[in-house]
Amino acid sequence: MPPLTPASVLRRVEGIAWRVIEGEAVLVNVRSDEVVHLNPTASFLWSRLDGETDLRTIAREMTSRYQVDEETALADLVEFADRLLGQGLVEAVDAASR
Amino acid sequence: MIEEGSGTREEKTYRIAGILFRLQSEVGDPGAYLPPAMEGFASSGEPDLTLRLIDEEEALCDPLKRFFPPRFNLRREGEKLVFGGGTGQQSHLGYISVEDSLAELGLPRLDGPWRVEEEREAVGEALRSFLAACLQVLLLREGGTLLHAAGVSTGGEAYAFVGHTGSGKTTLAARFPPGEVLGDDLLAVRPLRGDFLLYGTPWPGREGGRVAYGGLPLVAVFTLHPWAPRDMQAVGAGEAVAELMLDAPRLEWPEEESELLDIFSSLVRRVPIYRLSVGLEDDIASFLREFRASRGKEG
Repeated sequence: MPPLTPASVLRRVEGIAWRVIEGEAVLVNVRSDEVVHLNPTASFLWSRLDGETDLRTIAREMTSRYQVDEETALADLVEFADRLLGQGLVEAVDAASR
Repeated sequence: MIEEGSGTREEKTYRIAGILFRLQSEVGDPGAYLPPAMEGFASSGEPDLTLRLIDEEEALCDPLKRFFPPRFNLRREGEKLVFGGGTGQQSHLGYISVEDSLAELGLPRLDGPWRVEEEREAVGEALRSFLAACLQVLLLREGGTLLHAAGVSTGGEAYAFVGHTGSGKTTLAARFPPGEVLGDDLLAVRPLRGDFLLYGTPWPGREGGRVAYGGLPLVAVFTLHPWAPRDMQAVGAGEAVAELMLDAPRLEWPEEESELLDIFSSLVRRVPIYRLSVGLEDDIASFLREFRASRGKEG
């Protein structure tokens, strides 16, 4: 799998049931019965992985929501996205299919 | 028993968690295959769901092939939820149609003869699983669900102790007077007029459990963490939903997880959830008395 870049676009995979409850997302991977609870920042990022928005745009949104510079926001976002990819909760979207 | 044409049909109505089931059998008396506590839920009235046990040639030929191993699931086919499992997870053993208020399960004659004892056990397990599946599907429709939990009632209020196998539900329930225990295995919860009510079910677990048609207002839910140091902490809504989801009984049909998330999201808005770590040596009955007293002071 190619490494994530600021231009990468990710989407939530099918088969993940999720809800945001008081700002915190709860994800259930229907196939594995795994339940994941995200903190408010991670929940915001999760909700933005919509298959259309690239990571740089999401990082910029983070800078306006949270007191963080774009470089730090992007680094945190890439790390979080990598973890979600590893858990099979999101998948990369090909530029050609956008 | 009802005489009907050339056949005889057994029929009985049960009320579980406020839901009326009419059990009709054309394969003989199912009583011996139902949970022992089921008789306590006998009732009358117009059913929310009629559950028919029908004569099934394939089930008669080889019950073990059809119903073993006893792992069952639901899958959606059109308007129906198909009950499958046994050797072939995609098999069609029965169905539930909420729209038609009807469910059917194909079975061999329940009075045998059985070639081996395992045949009788496999058929019984399929029937129990199907009954629980019907209850869960109707509960979900009403905004409720089954819970793996021990339930205690005191002072007209109910408390649920949620946890997986081995978390101490049975040990905990044994510390209360039998008349106060709603069950220590499978309970039902559903909303009614602004409250969530907790109900006993025909699967009360080892400590028995009080048979009760009516539910009691659920005042607090404790998720059990027996291996942590003794403590009780209120948990936030998101974390509470995640904990409840971990221990929710599931039949793996596509909409189930989303419906459970909605139900638990609603539950945690109305009922406080606490993470509770207690040991086998702890006096849980005293803990609950103190908890109730502290709530009274807060109120």
